[in-house]
Amino acid sequence: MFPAQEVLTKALQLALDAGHEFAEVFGERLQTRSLSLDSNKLDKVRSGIDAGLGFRIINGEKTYYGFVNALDELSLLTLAKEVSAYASFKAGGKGQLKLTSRKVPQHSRCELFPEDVATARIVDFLRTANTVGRDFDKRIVQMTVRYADVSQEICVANTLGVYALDRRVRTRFVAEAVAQAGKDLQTGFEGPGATLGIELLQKQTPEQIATEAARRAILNLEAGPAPAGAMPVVLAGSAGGTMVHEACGHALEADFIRKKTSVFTETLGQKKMAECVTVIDDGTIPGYYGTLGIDDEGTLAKKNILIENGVVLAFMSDYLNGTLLKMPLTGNGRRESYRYAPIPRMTNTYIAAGNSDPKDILSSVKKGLFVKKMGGGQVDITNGNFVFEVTEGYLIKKGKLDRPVRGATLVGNGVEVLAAVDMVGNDVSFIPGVCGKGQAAPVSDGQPTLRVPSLIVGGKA
Amino acid sequence: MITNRELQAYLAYGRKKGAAIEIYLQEQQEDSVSVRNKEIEQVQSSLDRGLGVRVILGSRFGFSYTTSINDADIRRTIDQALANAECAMPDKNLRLPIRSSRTLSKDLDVFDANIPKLTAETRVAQAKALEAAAYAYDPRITKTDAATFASGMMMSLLMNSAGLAVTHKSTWAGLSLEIIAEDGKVMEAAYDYQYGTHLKQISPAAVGQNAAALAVAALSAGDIATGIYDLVLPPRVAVSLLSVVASLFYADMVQKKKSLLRGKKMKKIASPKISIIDDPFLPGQLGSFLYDGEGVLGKRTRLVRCGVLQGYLYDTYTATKDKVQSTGNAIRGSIKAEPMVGHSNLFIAPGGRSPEMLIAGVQKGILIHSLMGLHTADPVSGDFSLGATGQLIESGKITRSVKNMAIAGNLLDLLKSIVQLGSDLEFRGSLGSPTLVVSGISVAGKD
Repeated sequence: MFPAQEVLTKALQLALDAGHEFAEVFGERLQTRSLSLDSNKLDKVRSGIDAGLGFRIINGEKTYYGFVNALDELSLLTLAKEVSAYASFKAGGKGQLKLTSRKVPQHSRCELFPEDVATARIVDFLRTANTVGRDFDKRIVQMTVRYADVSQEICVANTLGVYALDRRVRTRFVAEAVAQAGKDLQTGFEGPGATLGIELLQKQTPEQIATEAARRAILNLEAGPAPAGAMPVVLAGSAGGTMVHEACGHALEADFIRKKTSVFTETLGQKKMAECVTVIDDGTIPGYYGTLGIDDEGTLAKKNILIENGVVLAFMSDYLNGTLLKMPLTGNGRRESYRYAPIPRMTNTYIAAGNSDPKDILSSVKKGLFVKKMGGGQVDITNGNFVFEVTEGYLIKKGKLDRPVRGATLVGNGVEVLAAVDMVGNDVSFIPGVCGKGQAAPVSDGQPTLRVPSLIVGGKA
Repeated sequence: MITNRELQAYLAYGRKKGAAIEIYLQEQQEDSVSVRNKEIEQVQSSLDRGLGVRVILGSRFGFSYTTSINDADIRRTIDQALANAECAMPDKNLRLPIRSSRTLSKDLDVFDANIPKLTAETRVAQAKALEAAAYAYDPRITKTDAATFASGMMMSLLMNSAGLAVTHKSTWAGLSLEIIAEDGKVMEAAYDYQYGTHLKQISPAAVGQNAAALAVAALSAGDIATGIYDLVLPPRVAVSLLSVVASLFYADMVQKKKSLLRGKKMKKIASPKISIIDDPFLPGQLGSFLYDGEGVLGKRTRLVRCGVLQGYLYDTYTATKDKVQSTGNAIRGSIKAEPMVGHSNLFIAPGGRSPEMLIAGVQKGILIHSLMGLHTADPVSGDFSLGATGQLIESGKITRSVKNMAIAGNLLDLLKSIVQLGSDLEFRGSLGSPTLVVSGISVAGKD
């Protein structure tokens, strides 16, 4: 399917012979399938194939990129010639290129590949989820249930001699419930995802996913407004890792470090956070949504300790930024598709477990906010200010959970918040998500229960 | 690309299998240059092609796409769409639009012949001018994340088995800049952008200066007390909120009980000063088209008149369901999905005062520079809670920059609380708004 090793060598050699420093071919064949059930109707069944080749040249800090919607030899050689002609460069001293095939580890053991599962079988799962969600409570007025699977085959070859092939499978099942009481409409969401096949639904069944979405919609209907102002916040171990993803994950990506636009620029070896905070990005955790054998540049995925006991140890790099910064490649060079040059991205990012009992953390707070589940977020990596959404939250009163609250976004400063964290639980768990940084990337984020002495809560009360 | 005759043959192939069929072909040329510290950082050029097939087989919907445009893959894609339809549930409201008896030939002025002729040198010069404008604005501008100039051309061809055939051809060009200001203690970034169908609609100097001004203003930002404030939203910020509000008018969201405007037709949903219009025929705008994404003739639709909801935006399916006419609002996001209800050029009609006059009329307020977390606003409940930065307004004067605040509210309450509109209607992409003044909004600060 992809161009043969000799053809890839020929294309790359073209760029070297033209005097360029580094060249790379990225081939991709993406097969997608999605189904959605809405208003009691399984109304959308879609599938398709997106295939193409990207060709990248790097000279120093300059990148030249092009792509074609084809995988054949002629298209590749034409593309290689075109991109090589974007600029002239004289690296000199390059001999004959020899590609060496790289063995790619399979961290996620997919059992049922998309082609092994008939679309009709997925329809049953969606119908079940729809019925269960609607039966949860008579105030559930709408359920939307979606399924998507992706099979992505990739081929990477570059002028350093790297040559690797991989196949990635991802599956996601999402339920959204709408609950209504009078004029008030509230939503609930649950959406597990994994680098696995449909066996994902054995761990969390369609019934459980739908129930969780419906429960959350009803809870939000019954919830009062969130308070407004700064207060202590406990983030539950079940809440997901949006906070760590936004508060420090992005700012530890090597492109921002090289451009000196991140708050973490020139901080290697410095203690920037609390002793109890260790932050890890690990692309090798079996089955997780951000897991990879190799990144989109052919570098093996790794477990990278970014912050250890508050000290900055490493940045997440891709080839361009890692090379320019003279830092090791961490396996974080990712791209949305063959249409894009790779950039540093997170995989599975989390705060490591501490030793506090989550119950003790909750009971230590007299008055504040308890975040049971986080939604999306955003960060300004230059000043470190971030926001994240609370999709399930409660007031804390005298160390106990009080009434549920809705509609709150929390605002903080990454370095300040992670320097102030003073209790870390022993219970890490992850939530999958799709991260946007000009390009979409599947990731997962996690953390244990955390106590943050002060965050701004954007409520209405 | 494929000829009309070849496409007819593929439509016939689908029809033979008993389906109503629609094929959409799209081709996009895109060229971009990013510059940093006066040096080229990235050059990209590409031609992206693809094709999407929508079928209705026995009242069931199916869709498939491919980026491989050859005979075998196109036939395989049609077969796949048909197989997908077999798995869907029947819906009697599904149909493909027939060719309109009314045709419209009107020059929307969405093709700038200068854009396909741009040279690599011109693109680099535009990106460099953008970066230079920011540095010239203030010596505290010290770093660039990226200064990018991009331009492109889009061509599409849509045909269906009901005899409809529509083509569209347009150009676009845009600038985007993320720039950093420093004063020795603090580092702040700001972002601004400008896109248009014509080169003359974008200005490196304006974008560069505006991004620089926002970054420099943020340097001195301090905290703010929790309380109730009037908000002044410049067009750039108002449009980002309008992007969430826009989906409330989509008939599919209304029919699926996911819009809080359901059941509010001819009811008051906004301040009497507000009129909202969707108009695909505005010349030279990015959201302009004659025919929509399924080939239906576009239409100017007044959505809100003096605060009262007039109606919703429809495609053929949602219109059939509500027994009304399609408003020509089927929008194609990409070849990878069927057209869905969307907007053309959707905008809030301007008022009569200059933005300066509006600020002068605010006693205790905030001029909002940026909002964070907009993608978390909930279009179903209308609830939003956002991080924000800006400048404090006291007795009609901007007194200082402020940060670390969160603004919470509901989209409908916000629309009802708009007390003033500026005369400065500005389009950002396919959405437009003048400066808005919103009264009595709850702002959470650090104190």
